[in-house]
Amino acid sequence: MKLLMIAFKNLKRRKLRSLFTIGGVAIAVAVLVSLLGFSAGYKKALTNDIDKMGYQVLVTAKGCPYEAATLMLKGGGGLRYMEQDVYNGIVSDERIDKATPQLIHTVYDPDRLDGRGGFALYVGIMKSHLELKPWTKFKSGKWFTKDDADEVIMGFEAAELEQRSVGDKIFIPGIEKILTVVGIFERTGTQDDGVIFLPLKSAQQLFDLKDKISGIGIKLKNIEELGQFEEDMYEVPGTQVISMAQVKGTFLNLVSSAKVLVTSVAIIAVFVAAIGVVNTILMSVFERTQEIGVMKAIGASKLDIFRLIWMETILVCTLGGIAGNIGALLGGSIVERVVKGLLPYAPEGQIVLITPTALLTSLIGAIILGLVAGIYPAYRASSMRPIEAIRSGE
Amino acid sequence: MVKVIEASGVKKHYQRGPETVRALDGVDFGISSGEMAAIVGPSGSGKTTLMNLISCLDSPTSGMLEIAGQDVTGFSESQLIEIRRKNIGFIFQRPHLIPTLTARENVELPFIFSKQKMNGDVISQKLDVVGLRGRNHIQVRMLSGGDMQRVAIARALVLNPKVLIADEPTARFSTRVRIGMTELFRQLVRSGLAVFIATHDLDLAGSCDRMIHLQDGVIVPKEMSSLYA
Repeated sequence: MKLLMIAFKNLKRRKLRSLFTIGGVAIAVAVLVSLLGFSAGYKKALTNDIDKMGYQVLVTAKGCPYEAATLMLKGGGGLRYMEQDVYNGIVSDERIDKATPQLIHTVYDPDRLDGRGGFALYVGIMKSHLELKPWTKFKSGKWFTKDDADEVIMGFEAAELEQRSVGDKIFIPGIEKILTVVGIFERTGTQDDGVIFLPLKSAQQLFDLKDKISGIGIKLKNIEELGQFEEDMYEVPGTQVISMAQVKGTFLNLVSSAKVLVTSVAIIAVFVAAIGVVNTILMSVFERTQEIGVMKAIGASKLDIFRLIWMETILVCTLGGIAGNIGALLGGSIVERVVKGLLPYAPEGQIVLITPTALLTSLIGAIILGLVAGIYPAYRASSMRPIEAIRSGE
Repeated sequence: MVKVIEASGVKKHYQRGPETVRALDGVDFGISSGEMAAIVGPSGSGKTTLMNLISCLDSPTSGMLEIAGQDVTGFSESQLIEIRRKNIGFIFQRPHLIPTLTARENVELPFIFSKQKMNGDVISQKLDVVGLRGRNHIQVRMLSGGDMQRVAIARALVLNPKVLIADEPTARFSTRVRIGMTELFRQLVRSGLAVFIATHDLDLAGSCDRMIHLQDGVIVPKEMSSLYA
């Protein structure tokens, strides 16, 4: 039997109290793990979303650039429109490698989501859409038969949600139009999975937006020309240029502000947990005053007693750290859902990415917490005078 | 018979505010191996102070105190711990065992603290000596008060000390347990151990080879002790 075993058995004396203390540490560690996971996950998911848009520059009608970027990223109503001539004018620019126009429109469908109602997102596209997103493959079916066909291609999740397959007819409520499903894309892991695509021209006719587009996605031949290209685009009236790198930076900055708040909460949680640990161990030391006196009388040195009490504290924090890690792993999906609901823009994919590094960092943090929190109770215990300690309860 | 404890002119004075408390004021006595001595006296006579000094839990203000031939006066705390580990076994009014450990694990504790290699045979033998054969692996909280005190005695004996110091070892037990414990002490003395007992129990004190009467910090003849007044 070693000191560590004695320390462990001591914790079992007051099981409930030990469990509550371990629970306090576990909550602090779980918050910390989730926070670290969010830091890593959000950036990765956002980068993935933006990279998978396929373009580096977005040209939209003048307005709030970040609102426009968000709507282009996740879809939604309220976008301003610009003339398609803008596209026709810039598409021949030699600096452009690929460019594609898009018209985004939402339609409320009262039958959607099992009768609860919801918005369906329609995006009018041209074939150049596939050139900018070469990873987009057909799960079934094929491209539209002509530029103004009454046909749609559904994103993977949109088709799954509505249980559609190629050849099915879909009805657009309010517009009273029936369209035929000619293709279904494979899953891309982006917002495109939830979209219903139709030919740009058809979309313009259907939604009464003749010669209008929502934006143009552009990929340059040489990314270093981005600055000059943006400047030149400012000359085009009624438009604005948004660099996707800027959008990414802005989102990350916005999330960083929220992270400061959450980090403050995590620090408070860790601080409260530390006080809880000190309190529990100190209480346990006072309850065992006589026992500690006897240990000294039978040969324990100050260092032995210090180590024993320190070990108990480290054990509490290590067990709390392990429980917190397990809690973060098991509760990760719940945290993910909650965080996604709170964010103004939540990228597709996992945004709370719990990595081995986050788990290890938090566990080491918990052990350090134990090392620090244990110093005072261990010092108090080791400083007890044996006979006074033994006599204290008699 | 080898002298295990020898005290000569041992004083212990405390300062309590402006007043000097003379807890021990020049005590001379000795105990040899194979001897069982009792120290008796009323409360406040200095028994506990004397026990603290001879068990190396405290240092005398002046005088000479030898434990197993070593003058421990002026020893540092770590030196006193070493003397304690090698020479002294300690038992108290209450067993003060660790309730979450088994009888055997409690007896192992001195080995852990002295950083000595655990000797399972010695532990079993000491548990046998105190009459706890077959109850090694019982959690001590399941034992009776008398058996707990036996575990405490086994714990005190496990490093083969030269002297067993007992502070009111029978005060909390029934007559039956007291008789059993007195017999156990006698048995240990026969094996060559020195046993030094502080007690109010005159039956236990009467069974010792020698009684030392302490009053107001000094050793007095039996007839002067207020215990018999």
